[in-house]
Amino acid sequence: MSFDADEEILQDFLVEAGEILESLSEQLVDLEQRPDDANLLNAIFRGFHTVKGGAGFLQLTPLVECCHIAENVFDILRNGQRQVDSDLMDTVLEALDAVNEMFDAVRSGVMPENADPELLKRLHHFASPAGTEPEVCAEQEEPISHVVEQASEEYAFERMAEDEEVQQAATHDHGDDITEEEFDALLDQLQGSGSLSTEQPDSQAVSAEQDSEDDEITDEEFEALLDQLHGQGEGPSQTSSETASSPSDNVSDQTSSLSAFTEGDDEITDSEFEALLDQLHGPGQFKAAANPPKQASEQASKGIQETDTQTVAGKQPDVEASKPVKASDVGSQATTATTSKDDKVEAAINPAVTSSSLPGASANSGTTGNALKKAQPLPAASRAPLSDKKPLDKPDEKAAVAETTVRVDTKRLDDIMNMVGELVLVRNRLVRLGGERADESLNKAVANLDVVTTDLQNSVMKTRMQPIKKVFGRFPRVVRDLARMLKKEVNLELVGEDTDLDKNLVEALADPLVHLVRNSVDHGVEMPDVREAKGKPRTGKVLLSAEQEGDHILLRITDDGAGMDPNKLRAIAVTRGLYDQEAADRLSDKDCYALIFAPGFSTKTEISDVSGRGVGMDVVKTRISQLNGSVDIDSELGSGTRISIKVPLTLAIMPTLMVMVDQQAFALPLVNVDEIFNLQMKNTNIVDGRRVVLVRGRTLPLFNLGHWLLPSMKQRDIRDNDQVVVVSIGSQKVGFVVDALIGQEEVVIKPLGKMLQGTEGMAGATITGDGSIALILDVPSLLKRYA
Amino acid sequence: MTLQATSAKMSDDPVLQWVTFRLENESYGINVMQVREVLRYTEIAPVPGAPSYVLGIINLRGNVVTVIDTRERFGLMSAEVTDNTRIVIIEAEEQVVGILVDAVAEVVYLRASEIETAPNVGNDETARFIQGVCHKDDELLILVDLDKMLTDDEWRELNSL
Repeated sequence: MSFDADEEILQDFLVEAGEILESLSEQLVDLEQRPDDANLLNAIFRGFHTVKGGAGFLQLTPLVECCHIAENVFDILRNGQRQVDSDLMDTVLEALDAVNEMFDAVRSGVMPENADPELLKRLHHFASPAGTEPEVCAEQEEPISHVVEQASEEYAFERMAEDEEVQQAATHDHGDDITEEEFDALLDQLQGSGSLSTEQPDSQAVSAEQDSEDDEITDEEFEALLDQLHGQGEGPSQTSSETASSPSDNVSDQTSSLSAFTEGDDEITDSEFEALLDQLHGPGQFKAAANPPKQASEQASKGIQETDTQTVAGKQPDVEASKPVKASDVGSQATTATTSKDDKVEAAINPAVTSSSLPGASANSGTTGNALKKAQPLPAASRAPLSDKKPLDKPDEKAAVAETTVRVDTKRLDDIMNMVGELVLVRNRLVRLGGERADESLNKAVANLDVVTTDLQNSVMKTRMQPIKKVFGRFPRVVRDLARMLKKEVNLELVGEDTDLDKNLVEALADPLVHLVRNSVDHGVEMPDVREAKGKPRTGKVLLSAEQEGDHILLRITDDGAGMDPNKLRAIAVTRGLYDQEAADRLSDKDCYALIFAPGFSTKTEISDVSGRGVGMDVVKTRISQLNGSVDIDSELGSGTRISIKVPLTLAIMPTLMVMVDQQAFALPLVNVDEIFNLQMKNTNIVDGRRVVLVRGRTLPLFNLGHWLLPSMKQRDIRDNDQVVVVSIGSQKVGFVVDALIGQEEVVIKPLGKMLQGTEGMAGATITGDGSIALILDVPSLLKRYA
Repeated sequence: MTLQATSAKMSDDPVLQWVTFRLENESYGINVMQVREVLRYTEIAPVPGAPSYVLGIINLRGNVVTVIDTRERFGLMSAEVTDNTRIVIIEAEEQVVGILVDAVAEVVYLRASEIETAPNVGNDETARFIQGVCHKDDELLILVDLDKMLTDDEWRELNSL
């Protein structure tokens, strides 16, 4: 197999393993709640295993080692040889951290360092059953190089399965090797284990002889096969070795098995193939690969049938107990290898023990004649094919989810988004032109274009959407760790995880949210004893919710903790010198809560890392404002605090208010705009050399935008009937005087060139409906620069 | 054109093409490979708070392009916009910018051997961006180093803002 695709493989690994590691952290915290959930244990096991496989393929030995031991721990756990306890969880979470660290190293192109030996030692400890068995120990002493090799092989196959071309090339290289050497060895092991499974009622062991080397099916046939298989799920099945599988079902008594004899040079016809598929389809799931172009069966004697889940569940434990670790290890590795590529399918398979055929494999290697080996069914969703390369059956009705997703480079999406942005601008222009003309058919066409463009814009925006789960996923862990550290009892509830929002936003929201959630746990929720004394349940609750509200996403972090004391905040404000006593007393409670966002309230300025430890809320606020969002706090002393964050669905298109200042158009982000009104000079006063206007009993400082933005306007003073746009930044409100208002317009933000980037007061530019340029004002920095 | 350029590069004395433009009474040349297009003067939207040599931004088919006042950059007085005024869109230092010039003349072919190093004229504003000069047909052509013109102290200036 050629390795010139290495870089690509590495990238794939990074993406895939990154996703797995993310979900692992979530699953591990889940596990603490539900320590006996077999599916969960399996999922975690598979997660570690897949990462290990990929790492092995890339020769990332330290990563492999760590994952391998963690995997062993979960193998022990899922076999019921050990119970989940908090010590174990701590160690495993630590191991996950170590893995994440190494993963980050790999991502930045550095060979990861070996994990802390102390940690590995502790992991080893947990990786042996409660009463350590020698066999297991022996297993663990397996040299890591072996593991790497094994893992990498699996991964190689996994990859091949994805890629026909690669696969075909590889068939020759690897296929033979395995058949001859490793497969034999493997069979031996499996046979050993197979003999332990005593009752095999009517398991008709039939074998299939397949020669993958010489059989060829045409593209069309292959397509047809794929189409049919896709409905069921996808996974690589091994094509290279001369093996066949038959379900060896030691649990169910209605076993029948598939036998497929394939002669070396036979071509398989469509009809034969159809027949085979038909047989496979009804009863079980044929989890064949994207790549069995060479796998041909001439005859299929019987299909795979269903077994009753209950039976499986009931009987499995005995079987497992008697099973050597190695066998299960190998078997499940194979399983994992086949499934890990497709998360969806995997997920579907996972809980699906509803109807299953327990596959064993019977192998008829060319030399040995008919050697039937039986595999143990693994508890792992009863899909334990035993050749480590040949899981033929994916028994699962629920797996009937076709793969409907494609990975696309975000760059490409950005390009499309850009073009759609252009289209929106042209549309705006046409709408404007159409409005000037009384041509009905033209207007109709323009209206039509308007609708289509809007739809297109929405659809393209949706392609960039990601569920907020991506951010939320890390919180169970954050909360758990923090609660443990602070010796608090906190329950985190997540609501609306599936809410979609722009990818960039998802990433940008992560840090501020982590900070806010940490704050809730740290400062909001009280110690259990205190809570009890107050008549609250010992366990505090933090609710993290997300929902779409019009064109905004509303995020809420609610805790049922102590709440904030406005008087305390006033006192702090006074001691920090933000307000004098009198001014502080005049602040409304709501204004007081907003004080925690004031820069003076904290000393640090940067969000340092994910933990956000000791970082001021003003950074959170700044971040959210950068996203054109807003933050709002509600609190009730004694019963909790709620922080609401509002962010737009996307960053690429922004609703703005277009204003005119001396013939030049400027766009004010609508999030900042509170209201607009006609200026009456009689309502204005000069206070302290600054013009203010009285609005509903509140004085508002007035600024003439022209003075700031256009040198030619320096002389002109404000006059009656100028328009005032009231903008708010946090709790502060100011009025901008402009010549005229154009109206509300959705604009596409065009970044300013490198040379102008960072120009204060300017967020970017946009092209207006008439083709000219309007600058988008950045209100906070505008005020900072000019006011 | 491209073919010529590449084949020329292979020889010992490569022929380079230069787009010439006029500022005040001088002729300047910029490497043709850095020129994207030449536009007639369109309205330039000023950007408040931008450095003084930035005239503003224009809409180039949906992209926002910064336009530099070349006169200011070369220490010349600003002049009226005429029919000949052009915006040359160039690509340098990984950015696309426009430079406002009095007129664009032609594309000339120069052998590398014809280019002389710039005479050291001291602290002249212009001197910093000059790559070399060339006498051709009794006229002096000043070859501009665009990369230098766009970076250098400009960045220092930007950073100090």
